[in-house]
Amino acid sequence: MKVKKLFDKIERFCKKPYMKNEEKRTKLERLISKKIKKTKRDVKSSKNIKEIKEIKKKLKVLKKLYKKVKL
Amino acid sequence: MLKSFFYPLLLISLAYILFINENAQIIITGIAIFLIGMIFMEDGFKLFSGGVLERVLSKTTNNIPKAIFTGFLSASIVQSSSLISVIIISFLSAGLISLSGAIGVVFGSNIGTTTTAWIVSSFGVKINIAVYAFPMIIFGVLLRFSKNRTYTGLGNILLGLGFVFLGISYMKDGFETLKTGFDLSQFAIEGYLGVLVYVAIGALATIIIQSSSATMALIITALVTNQILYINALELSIGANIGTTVTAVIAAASSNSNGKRLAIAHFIFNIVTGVIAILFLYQLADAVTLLASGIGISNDNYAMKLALFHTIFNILGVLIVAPFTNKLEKFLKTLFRDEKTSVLKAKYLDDIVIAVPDAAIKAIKDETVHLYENSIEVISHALYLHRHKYLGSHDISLVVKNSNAKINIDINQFYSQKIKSLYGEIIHFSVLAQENMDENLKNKIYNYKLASRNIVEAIKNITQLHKNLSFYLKSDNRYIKEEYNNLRINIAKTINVINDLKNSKDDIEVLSNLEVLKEDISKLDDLRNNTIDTLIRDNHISTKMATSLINDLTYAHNISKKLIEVATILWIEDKDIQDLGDDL
Repeated sequence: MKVKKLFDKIERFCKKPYMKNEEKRTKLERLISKKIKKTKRDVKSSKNIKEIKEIKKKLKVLKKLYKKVKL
Repeated sequence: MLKSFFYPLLLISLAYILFINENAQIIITGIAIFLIGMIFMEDGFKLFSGGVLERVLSKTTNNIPKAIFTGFLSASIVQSSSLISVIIISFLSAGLISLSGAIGVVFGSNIGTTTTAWIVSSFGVKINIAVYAFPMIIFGVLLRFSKNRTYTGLGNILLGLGFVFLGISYMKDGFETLKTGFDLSQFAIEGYLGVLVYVAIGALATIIIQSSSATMALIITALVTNQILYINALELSIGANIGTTVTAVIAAASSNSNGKRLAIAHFIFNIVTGVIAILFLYQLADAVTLLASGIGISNDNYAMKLALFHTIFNILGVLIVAPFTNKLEKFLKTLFRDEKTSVLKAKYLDDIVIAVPDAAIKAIKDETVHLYENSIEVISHALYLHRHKYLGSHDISLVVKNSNAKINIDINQFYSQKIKSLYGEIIHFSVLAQENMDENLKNKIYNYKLASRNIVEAIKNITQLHKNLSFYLKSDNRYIKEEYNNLRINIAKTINVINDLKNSKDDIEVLSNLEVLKEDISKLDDLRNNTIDTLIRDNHISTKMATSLINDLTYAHNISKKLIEVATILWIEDKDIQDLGDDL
């Protein structure tokens, strides 16, 4: 896990940031993290297995988006 | 015919007047400069407002009193009732405001434009206004060089205001010199004959000049220099109010039913107001004198008394006509019926909104959505599905399997008659509209054009898919039938998800759902390819069936992909969030 984190840091350092505008980046980060929290709550509250599966897919996408913005 | 005869005649007469009379030359130059100023001011506000005006107008017109106040406030700031009318017509076409709200704004803007008379009478005629005009023109020109849209807009406003002031100054100078050699007041006519003659002159002058504000400036300067009698000036101002509606009605002749309704409402309002003002002219003049002394306007300050009269009779008109707004709305709706919602014609692309960038962008977006809705109709029917049956359904697979009845549709005819013409109109309108836009707005237009192109490509793909679909759905081979049903299910699911997201205001929600959809489509594509391999290996389908299926799988994949791209452009407002989905 630590190695993965280290690689992430190196990747972040080497790659160009996805968004140069700090203000915009922070705004997107905030929006996506808020959505991630909400989606996590939805996973917990949902009782339908099919629905949980769909929400989890969305959660995965949101995490990808967050990572892209954070980079 | 009439125009081709009168227009050259008018130009020749004008050239003759300019040639024989130096004073008339100065006055007419003043009018021309004033009009140029109004044009610059209007252009400036279009750029400067940056959508604020549009937002305010769309949100504050839910009841008639509010709409009247909004119309009044915006027209007094912008100094152009025609700009307000253009925005209102575009909103009316987009269904953002009701007709009664729009009528309210028009009533209010009529009172709002009377502020021009106040500006001219309070500043324009008392002080040497040209002194202020020059710095305004200089700074206006400098600001116009800026690449920033707001500064360019501000530059245009300053330049416009400078020219308006300069125009007034020229008109005043012209009348001052005219006074020494020629006395226009000898033509003053008293009694009701005079009323009618002067009202007609005022209306005619406004029809020729095409601006009631310019006519008002002309009347006030002529009044201040004692070229006309106070009572005749009042009559001329009534005429100017009537004349301005004629130009609005002519302009709306080529507009859609909403534009026509609003122009007629404006016409009825100004005619009613004008008739009341003519009938009670002397009583109103007395009331103005009384009120003027009450608010500190001296009895000999005729220019300000005229401005007060102009405002009062417009307020009176609103008070009398506004209670009948709902009846007027009903009447106008029966007078100009909505054209049948034929997909042949663009619903939102009205030439009148081309000049207002924000309104034009909105019209293009709405029209692209319109194109999308039509394409969904044709795609659904090509898949033998009815939208009301599968949109919103929890079990699309079941709906698709139960909907096998053929729907008679000629996709090529539908495409050439309805989709292609609408697509053409969007492209044509976009090209014209982007001339007045900055880079940011041009990019938006580019995106909408891209969305329209994707829609058209989706239809071209469904045309190809439809040929085999209609053939294999009747096949006795249950495997091939099932595979084609799966294609139908996948496209229907994509359309259904997009349909659910259309009204969402949460851009992240829309994006994440569209990304999930993208992933699903990609996975299903792989899955289907594997299934086809198995079917071929097990001899469940022939080679011919397999090649058809592989091709159609690509078409189905393309349709879903194109529709997702369209949804990303149309239903994600934030450009940064839109771009976030690329190469995820």
